Amino acid sequence: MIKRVKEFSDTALITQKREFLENFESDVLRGISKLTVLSVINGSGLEGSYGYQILKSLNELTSGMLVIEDGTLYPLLNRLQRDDLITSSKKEIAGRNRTYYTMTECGKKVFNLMQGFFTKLIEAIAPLFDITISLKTKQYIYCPNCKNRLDLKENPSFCEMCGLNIEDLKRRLLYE
Amino acid sequence: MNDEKYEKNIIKEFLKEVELKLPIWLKSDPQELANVLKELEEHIEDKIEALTEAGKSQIEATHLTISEMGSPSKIAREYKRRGTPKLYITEELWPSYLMIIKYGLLAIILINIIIMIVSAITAGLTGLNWGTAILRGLVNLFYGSLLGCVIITAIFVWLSYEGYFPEDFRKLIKKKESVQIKPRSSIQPPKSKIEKLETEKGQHYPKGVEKRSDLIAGGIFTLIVAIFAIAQPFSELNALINTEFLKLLQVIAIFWLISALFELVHSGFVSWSYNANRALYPARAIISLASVSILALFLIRPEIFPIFWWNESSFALMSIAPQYYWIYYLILSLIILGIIIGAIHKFYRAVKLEEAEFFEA
Repeated sequence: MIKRVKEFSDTALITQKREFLENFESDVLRGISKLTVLSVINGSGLEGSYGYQILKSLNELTSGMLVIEDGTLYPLLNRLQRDDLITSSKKEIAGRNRTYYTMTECGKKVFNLMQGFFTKLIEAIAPLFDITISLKTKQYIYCPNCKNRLDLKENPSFCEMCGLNIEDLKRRLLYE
Repeated sequence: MNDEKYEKNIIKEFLKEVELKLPIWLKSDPQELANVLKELEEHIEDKIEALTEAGKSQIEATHLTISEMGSPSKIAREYKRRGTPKLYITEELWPSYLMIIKYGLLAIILINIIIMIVSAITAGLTGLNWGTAILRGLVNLFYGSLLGCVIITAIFVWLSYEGYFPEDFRKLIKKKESVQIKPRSSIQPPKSKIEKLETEKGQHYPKGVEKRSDLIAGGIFTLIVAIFAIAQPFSELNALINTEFLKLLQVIAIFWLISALFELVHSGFVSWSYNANRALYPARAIISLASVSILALFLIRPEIFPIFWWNESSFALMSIAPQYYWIYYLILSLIILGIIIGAIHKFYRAVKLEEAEFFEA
């Protein structure tokens, strides 16, 4: 779905290992596409979001930095729906009958784990690429067992994915 | 006004191209297909609206929107990319693949055992011994199993590439729930017509086309008969039959084989593609008519037609006695007449098809 980052040209003259590089980018972007679409749908709450609105929000949230092939959003939504992460319903708003997508309960939990995994991964590999990542440690904690991201505002005692007791971890973070 | 028509044409063309390239599992579910196309159409309309509000002309906005949609092939490819790769067959299809291989091999073994028994029984007619007949049977069993495995594997590799899941077949076979069709505005057939399409089982067939299950059953039956007629596996028995008859049988079996393949291909398009139906009905009619020429050769040569009968302890072979030729002529003429009427009926079906009753129209 995400084709590339806008500021780079896809017609740049890359003569060495072009196919390898394209495959690498395509593999990375496929996973990121899933994560970003879930993030937008999750952000739309109970009301949900329809196809065009999802891409519009994604474009706004990323400051128009991504080149997206609009049509390929729908196969992705179809797959996420089949995996029971999102659900769709027809709604008629302002005279237009559209398909709205919302997160399922299971989808919300899985998405938390996905973003936890992604965040910790980026943090772990950041030094390799000489970049700095600062996590919002006052707002979220990450389950040390399964990488699930837990919102401290909800005052969780257990990780909802793997059931680990996180009281000790919370206390330690408070002392820090 | 012209701009609007031009814009609608571009969108329609784009959607048609996407539809053409979508995987068969998606196209075989008219409701899902209509939903996919409707969503794409709505997306295009939303984006054009936003771009025109931002100051672009209608035509500029349409071109930009279509170019940013991604190519129809890429959209279709994304729909196909839904299985978990495991060798060349997806993990989702793997259990079905193993099951089909198991039952396929069992069927091949059973067929070969039957052939071996018949060969052993008829071996006496040609002077061949039982041992040679059974040895030939074992060789056939090996090649049959090998060929069966290769064909089944090739089919499953293709199905995996197309993104099929086992539930797609279940949906194709059952389709129990009554489908409520809401196709995109430009392809929506009149309501009365949708109602007409509904059969008792809730499956949707445009008026005047055959049922998919009939085509598949007919195609498979004809295919098996044709393969037997071409391969002529009972060599001991063949030695007793007139060689001219065997050659004519092989030639007509080629027509049966082509006809069976066309029927199977047709089964994939019968309920949704107007153009495919328009092309396949006349093609099948022409193949049937072509086979009449071979039947005419059979008609003028009643003396080569073999008749088997059981004589005390073994099969015996004889020709038709001249005084009974009239029965032969009558039966064969009726078959030829039936084929001609069937061919005319196929042409008639092709002519009478109504575009609005198909979802792709």
